[in-house]
Amino acid sequence: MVSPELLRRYPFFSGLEDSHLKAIAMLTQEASSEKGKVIFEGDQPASILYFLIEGSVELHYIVVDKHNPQFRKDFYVGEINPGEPFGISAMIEPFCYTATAIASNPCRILQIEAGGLRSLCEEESGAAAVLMRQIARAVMTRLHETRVQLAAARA
Amino acid sequence: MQTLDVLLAKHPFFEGLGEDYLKLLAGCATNQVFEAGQYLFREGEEATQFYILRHGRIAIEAHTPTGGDIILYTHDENDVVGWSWLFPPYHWHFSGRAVQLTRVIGLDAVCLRGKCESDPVLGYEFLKRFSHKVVRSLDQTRLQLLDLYGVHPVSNR
Repeated sequence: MVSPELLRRYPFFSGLEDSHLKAIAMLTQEASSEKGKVIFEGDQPASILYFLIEGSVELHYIVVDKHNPQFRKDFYVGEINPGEPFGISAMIEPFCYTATAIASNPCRILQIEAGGLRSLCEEESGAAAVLMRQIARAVMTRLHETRVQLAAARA
Repeated sequence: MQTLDVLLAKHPFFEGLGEDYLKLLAGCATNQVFEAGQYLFREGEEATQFYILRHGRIAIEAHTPTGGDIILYTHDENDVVGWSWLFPPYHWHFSGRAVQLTRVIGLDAVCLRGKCESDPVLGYEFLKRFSHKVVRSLDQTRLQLLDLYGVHPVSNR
């Protein structure tokens, strides 16, 4: 469990009532990751919503060569900065991570138990609307950045 | 002739949404038709609509520094189009052009935002569905990028 005051520092959690912040704080643990550590892998069940406090995290697609299955390659697809959530598939069906997250520098991370958070959203519509709006904003920003990358690559 | 709430109910994006909410959203809706080549919206303009694609195809285009337009993505029947209306500054990041005769239901952005803000249950439900679509688009766009790199994965994980 973390202090609600820790969550209150970040715009992602703004707009939430005190009781909701307390409930989310109860579901949250602080953790650290050393550089190079795989925080979660793509295609795995998404049971935790992550929030980066310090450091940086890269998102990668790990691909397997169809002619040479033992040949795996990492493709960088995005970066997470402090104050941003990641692993947001934990809040969006089918609750499966779409990319692999790797600490590119030593990190401090908040881990929010997603099952409990989804239950809170089902019970408390006020919290649900605020949180899902922030989730939508985060994923839209990522889509926009990726489309800009695609446009630049194809120009 | 079918009413707008009935048309919305038939669209996969609104599957399972209660009748009362569909009637509420229909209050923000208009039926629109675009001829092939006609633009629904252009990059930089104010994003005033969320489009529910009933028939046809919409190409999402980016304007390049060399002056041409490239197609990033196409939306087909039963898809939804447009995210920029949801968050400030409410400007389209790209352009949307009808590739063929296209029929859409346009939901007025100000009306839609107002309904979602005044009813958090509707807001949550709408944003859940919306986020799901955006995550799928994100995944597809990332795979398009990999395709450009010449990678054809058996597994993309």
